[in-house]
Amino acid sequence: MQNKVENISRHKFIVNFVQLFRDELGKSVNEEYKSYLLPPGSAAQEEYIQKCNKCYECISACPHEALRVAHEMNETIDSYPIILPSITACNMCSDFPCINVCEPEALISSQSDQPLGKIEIVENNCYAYNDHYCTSCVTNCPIGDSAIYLDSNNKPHINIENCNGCGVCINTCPAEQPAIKIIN
Amino acid sequence: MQNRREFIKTSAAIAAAASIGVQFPSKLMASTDTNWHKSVCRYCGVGCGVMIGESGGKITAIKGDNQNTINNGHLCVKAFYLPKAVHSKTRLLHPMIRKNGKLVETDWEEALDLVAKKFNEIRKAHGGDALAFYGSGQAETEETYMANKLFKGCIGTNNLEGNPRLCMASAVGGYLSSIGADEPVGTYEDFEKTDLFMLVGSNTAEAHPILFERIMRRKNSNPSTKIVIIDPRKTPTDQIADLHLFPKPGYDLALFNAIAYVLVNEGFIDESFIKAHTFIKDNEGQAHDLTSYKEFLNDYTPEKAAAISGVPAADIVKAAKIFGNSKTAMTLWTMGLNQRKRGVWANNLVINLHLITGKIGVPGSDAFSLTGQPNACGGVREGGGLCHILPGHRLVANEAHRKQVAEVWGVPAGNIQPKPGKHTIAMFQGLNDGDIKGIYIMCTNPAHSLPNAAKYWKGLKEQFVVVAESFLPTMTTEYADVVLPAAFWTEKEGVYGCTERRSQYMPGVIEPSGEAKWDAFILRDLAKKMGFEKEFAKYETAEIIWDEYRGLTKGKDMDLMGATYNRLKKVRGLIWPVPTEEHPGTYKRFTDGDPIYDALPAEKKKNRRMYFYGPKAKDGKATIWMRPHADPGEPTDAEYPIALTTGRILEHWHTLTMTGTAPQLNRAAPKAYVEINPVDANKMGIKNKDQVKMETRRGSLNIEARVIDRPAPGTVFVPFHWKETPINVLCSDIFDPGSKEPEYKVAAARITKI
Ligand code: SF4
Ligand code: SF4
Ligand code: SF4
Ligand code: SF4
Repeated sequence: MQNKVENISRHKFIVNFVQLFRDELGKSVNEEYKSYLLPPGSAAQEEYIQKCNKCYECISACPHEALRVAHEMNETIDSYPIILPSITACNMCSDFPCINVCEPEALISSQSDQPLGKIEIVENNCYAYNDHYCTSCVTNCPIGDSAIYLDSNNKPHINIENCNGCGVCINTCPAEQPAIKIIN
Repeated sequence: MQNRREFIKTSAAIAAAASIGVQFPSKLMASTDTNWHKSVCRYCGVGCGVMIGESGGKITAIKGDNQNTINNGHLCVKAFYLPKAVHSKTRLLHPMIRKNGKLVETDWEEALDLVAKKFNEIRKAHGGDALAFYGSGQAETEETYMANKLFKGCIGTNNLEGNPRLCMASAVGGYLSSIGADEPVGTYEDFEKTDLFMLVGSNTAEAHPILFERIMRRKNSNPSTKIVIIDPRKTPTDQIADLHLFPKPGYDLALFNAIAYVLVNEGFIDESFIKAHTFIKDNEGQAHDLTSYKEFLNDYTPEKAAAISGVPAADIVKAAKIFGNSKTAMTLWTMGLNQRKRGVWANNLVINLHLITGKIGVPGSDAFSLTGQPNACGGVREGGGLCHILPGHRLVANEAHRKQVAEVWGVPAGNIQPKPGKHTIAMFQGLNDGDIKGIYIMCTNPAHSLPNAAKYWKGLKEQFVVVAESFLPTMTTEYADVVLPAAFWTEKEGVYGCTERRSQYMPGVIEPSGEAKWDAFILRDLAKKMGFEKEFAKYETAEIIWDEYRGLTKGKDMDLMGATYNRLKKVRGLIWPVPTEEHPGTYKRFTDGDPIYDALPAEKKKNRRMYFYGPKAKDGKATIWMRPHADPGEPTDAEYPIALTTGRILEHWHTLTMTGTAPQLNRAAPKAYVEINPVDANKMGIKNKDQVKMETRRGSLNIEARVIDRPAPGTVFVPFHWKETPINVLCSDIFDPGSKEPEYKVAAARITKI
């Protein structure tokens, strides 16, 4: 099938492309930042990697370049599409272009309300827990106060119920060491 | 060099930091060979004390000074990254001259010779008023002082301004006309004593973060403390609000009068305070009594004010009752009141609320203006860095004042012109018109920061422009004929005076980068080359300059005689009046404990608890002003239906020359955006992150939409930091006829989806 051939070549192209910039990426992605989010509409990781055929259509479809191929994360997820929020967070597009193009239904609309990952504040690294006034994560969270909020001492907390795991807070956090992590 | 004790102390501190898990690399890397120096944050008007970590001639870390009572060891995230600004690749290292359209490196000799020659030619051919100086609330007091002497005292022009005109001039006008003296009566200490914070046009959480922490702490430890916010935009400050009034931008004057109406009619006023301490005056300055003030307020019932401001009458009554019922009250305000066509009136009307209720001059009560820049109060308001004033709260129009200053400067009294020079907008208009042919710009970036900025690029392009800067490029250096590398914070010593009348010393702890020189010395050397050798011979150290200035404050309301360098180096700043080296500084002015008040003869203090002795006060009285409502300069209309307002965010400072050097801060806040209320966005079919076109009568730009429930419907907000999206080009340059401060906060705009 014409379509299939194209998919393979796109697959190869992206793999090569990633190889090419492997070093650069490796450098920019600090060890500690190596926590990742799964694309919108995915089930738990195990099911996701079973269904995803690595066509990378979602990566091409994402208008915000939030999706990328995992590499050197861990053996299980490497080469599957993921989101590295420290580089680009997910915009949670209302029409989910990524889900729409996913043929093998690794990403499905009915799961689009599932959080992309579980977010946690690393108190040791967070300014607010260390004598600095910082609120970037709370100010920038697209959901607002209900997902991440400041307590009466200006320290941020995450409300797992409402957080969709978009990773915007991780992306904006100005801390030198990652102050928000994803529990995979 | 550290001695053993210090060594053990720092090691212990580092061990302690490590044990509680602080992993900020700069803290850990700041190992035992780090020398710590007490200083002040470079950024905002809060004036937080910092400890500068220096090692091997480099600034390696910044931490909060836990002995400084302003911030008790806390800092905001901007300050943390200051070392990156000091050693940034964008530091300007050599003097540069424009040759064939390009800035090329040169040496100091050639650069200053050129400036001196050009300035002297202009002065000879067109007079001193063809020259101008434009300075900064971020310059040190000593630096502004040197400029003042050169331009007002030697060149003989009062065309000397600074960017505080763009942010604080209305507060100055408000204080002078209301309480007869510039700057607040109380200090930050009142934050821990008040029952109510009324925040007007102030996003304290982002613009004055450490003060916001103090407000929060007060509320935490004393939950009955109320927070009332008056602002057209919901901001991060709202997390602690008990009540928020959303006036339409520029329509709040009626609202303040309506609050006064409720206070007066519900019996919340302090008639004996009013009688003993105030005059009541109308807009023409005619005296009135309380009865006619009450009649005046009848025009501002909550219902009428609601119709004008868009704030529900019930909320106005609620706010007024909270104010009235609170035993003590602090009103804090910033640019939302000042950057307005009627900024002085707005300031007067807010101060009125404190005067009619007697909520002033007692612990926990004050009308307290928050200053934006770290030395707008110290260097410019006190130091006389504007076109109508002279050092030590003096006026150019006052003959005795001119004489006093001329004598200290060692120049003929006739050198200082009696007529105020051109205020900021007039100055840049003067460049456009060719009346001003040469300008010296120091420590600020007007090509980016002026309102209606593009209009003033013409003059900058056409006239001879000298820019003394620490960073290159800026939007202003694009127009410079000569660029002079200025030493940056930590590379020079000097004094900053913050919001609460506190002057603090900053040491120079490393050598200036490249060939950079201290601004005060650049001006001194230029002055000498211009022929004022004799007048500038003595200024060999910062302390000599400070001492001369200090002498000029003797016996003034802002007496700094007791604030010697020696003393300032040891203490965490001193709050004036501080008349002698033994005096601890003054918590409350105009009342018991203020040395100037205490020295007044007893009969003056009879039957009263305050005596407003400031330079503009009469009989020791403050003034309650009957200011009518006034609309903004550019109301919205069918063509431009949306009110545009602008401001700052937490992560960045002004035009990004400094915070832009920290990748972490850029990542946190990478580009400009326009906040649009979801209601408006829906109507216009705009989605989050859409590109939109913003237009005002002055220009248009493309910008990303941020659909968020922050600005009230009908209002949009854009932060002004990024030169790629210079929103100030769209801002209105209509200014307050009194304070000459432009109305950045209100412009009529329209938005279309691209
Ligand atoms: S929701 Fe949008 S931004 Fe997020 S991965 Fe899908 S396409 Fe990309
Ligand atoms: S807290 Fe907010 S910004 Fe962070 S992942 Fe959750 S929804 Fe996104
Ligand atoms: S942005 Fe990062 S450092 Fe700042 S408060 Fe949030 S988690 Fe902490
Ligand atoms: S609040 Fe102001 S003075 Fe304090 S650390 Fe932040 S920018 Fe500096």
